[in-house]
Amino acid sequence: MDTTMKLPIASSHDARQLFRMLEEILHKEQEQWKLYNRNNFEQANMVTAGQRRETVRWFFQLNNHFGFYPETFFLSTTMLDKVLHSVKVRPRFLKCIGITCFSLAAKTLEEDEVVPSTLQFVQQSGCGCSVAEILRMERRVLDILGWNLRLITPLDFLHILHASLLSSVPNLLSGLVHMTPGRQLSQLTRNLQAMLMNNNSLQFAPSVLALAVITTELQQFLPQWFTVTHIMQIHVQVSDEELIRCMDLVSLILSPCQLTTNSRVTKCKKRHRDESSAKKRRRAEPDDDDVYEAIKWLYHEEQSDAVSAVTMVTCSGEHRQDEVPAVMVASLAVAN
Amino acid sequence: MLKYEKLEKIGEGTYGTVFKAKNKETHEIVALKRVRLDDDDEGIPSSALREICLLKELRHKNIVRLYDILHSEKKLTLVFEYCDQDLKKYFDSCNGEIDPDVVKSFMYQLLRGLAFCHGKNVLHRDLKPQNLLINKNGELKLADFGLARAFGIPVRCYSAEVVTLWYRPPDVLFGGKLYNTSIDMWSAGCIFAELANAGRPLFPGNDVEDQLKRIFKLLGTPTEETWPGMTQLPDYKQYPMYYVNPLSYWQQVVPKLNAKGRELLLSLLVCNPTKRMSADDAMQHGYFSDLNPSVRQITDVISHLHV
Repeated sequence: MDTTMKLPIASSHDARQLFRMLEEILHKEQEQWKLYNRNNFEQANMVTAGQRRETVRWFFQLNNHFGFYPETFFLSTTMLDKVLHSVKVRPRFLKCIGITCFSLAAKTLEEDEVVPSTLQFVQQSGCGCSVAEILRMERRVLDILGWNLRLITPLDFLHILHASLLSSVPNLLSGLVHMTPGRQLSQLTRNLQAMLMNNNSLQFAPSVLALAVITTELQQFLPQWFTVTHIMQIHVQVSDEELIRCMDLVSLILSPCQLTTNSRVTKCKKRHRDESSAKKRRRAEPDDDDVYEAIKWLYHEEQSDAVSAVTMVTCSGEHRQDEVPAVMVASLAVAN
Repeated sequence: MLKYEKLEKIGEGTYGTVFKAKNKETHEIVALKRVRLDDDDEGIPSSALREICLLKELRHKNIVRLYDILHSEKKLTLVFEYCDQDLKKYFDSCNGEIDPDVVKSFMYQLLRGLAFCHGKNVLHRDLKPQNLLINKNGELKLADFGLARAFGIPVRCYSAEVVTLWYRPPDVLFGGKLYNTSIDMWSAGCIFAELANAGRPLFPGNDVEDQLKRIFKLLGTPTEETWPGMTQLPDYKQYPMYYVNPLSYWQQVVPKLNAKGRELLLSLLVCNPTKRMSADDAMQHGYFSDLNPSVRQITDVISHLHV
């Protein structure tokens, strides 16, 4: 075992904090997540697997269009799956349920000033239903979900696992060219989004999906990936067999370009940028170097520099992409 | 709605009218927050949605309990635990005199409620006396989570349109959107001083400029040295250079607060958000060393109310 590596329950306060957060969402996952059996997805549902996939792809487009955070995409999808799992949905209602989940996720996670009106959702989403229909559906969806909108998504796990990974293996990215924690997190987030758009991923719990996406990435460049994964695996409590099955799926779904190492990242990222710049985005995903300073803050490396970087941040609406180091662990501020 | 008998209107919340009501079966007194839904086409207001989601998870003695949600086409009614009054009304009724032990007890409970929220990764973002409820047993509860939000890793840019002016920290007054739990700690500091002065607000500014001026006059104008990054904040403007007042001056600002209390107050009222004390640390402060043990105890009196 690499001697520089330690368990995420290590002595430092950050690691403890991360571990506490991990415990909490694992607990919630156990309460919330039920096995969606792919084979009986269509038996239990009038909605086909293809229609579900199309809806999730539509969420992805909407999320980019409205410039929302990735969290909103993940929450919409998790809500949709929960609804599809709870009641039999006629395909003709799917778009209406979809836009309702998406608007509920936005209302919950995004700040009021960036959430469009219901009318704007209707006009810009192509959902084909009326404002009144969405409002009726909102009541219905809230009833189905029992008003529990704080659903655990794979992204919650990705954030915590990635943060604890960097905290326990500080030199994780040292062998990679042009790779920063922020870039890596963005890449992993995109990979996880791609996974969610595939119905086969429904059979895996959010924690397993996140771990499989991270591990598949680690395999590309970290010789001791196995040990690192094993430690995370203990915390997430997933069996070898299940993790391997999920990793197989990850390799199947993600094209080689999405699994990035070293220089390849530049090429893939450029492609991503070209696509996204065409879209009207009021807000950018947190990627690139701007997040790096804040991440250093998170791991208490060069703390004084990073703290000033964080406090110096300006965040004036339109150009947040260039100015905002959006990644840092706020929970650390809840210092003991 | 037949389950409850409305008794009287208590007030107006962020997004609805609040009534005192009685459960007809159990005769328990509750507070009903009624949200009208037919006014616009936006369905459940996001503030109500966030309040419901967060309060469902925040079960703590110092946080108001949400018992039930009644939802019809025309209105949404939230059923809350009833508290006799809010801190603002309490101030009005106490004739300029609050026992120092009561100040200590309320402040401790405020910090404990906050520490719980922050531990659950929730920012309140609208702390003020009107949003702190007090019941007959002298228990204080955080209420009105309409502006609250959950935070995680990574922290995002949030709205600067939060917290009522008098309780808004300098970083947010300067347009800072990358805040964290420190936002609530500033408000807690302002409320602490207000408690100690039996309801006289510490910084009753008229507008953002006046607000910052009042803050800097009392605490000294921060510099890039004491607060690196301040001048880069979106709405930063230069203010006259006020000097830091000597500690003895604070005896005039909060005359009824003892030395330990003043020390705690000054640890919360720090312009640089990264230097502001956390709720957990504040609870450990020496000011609370002689706190009434019954306040410290967290034996939850679970209500028998089941609506």
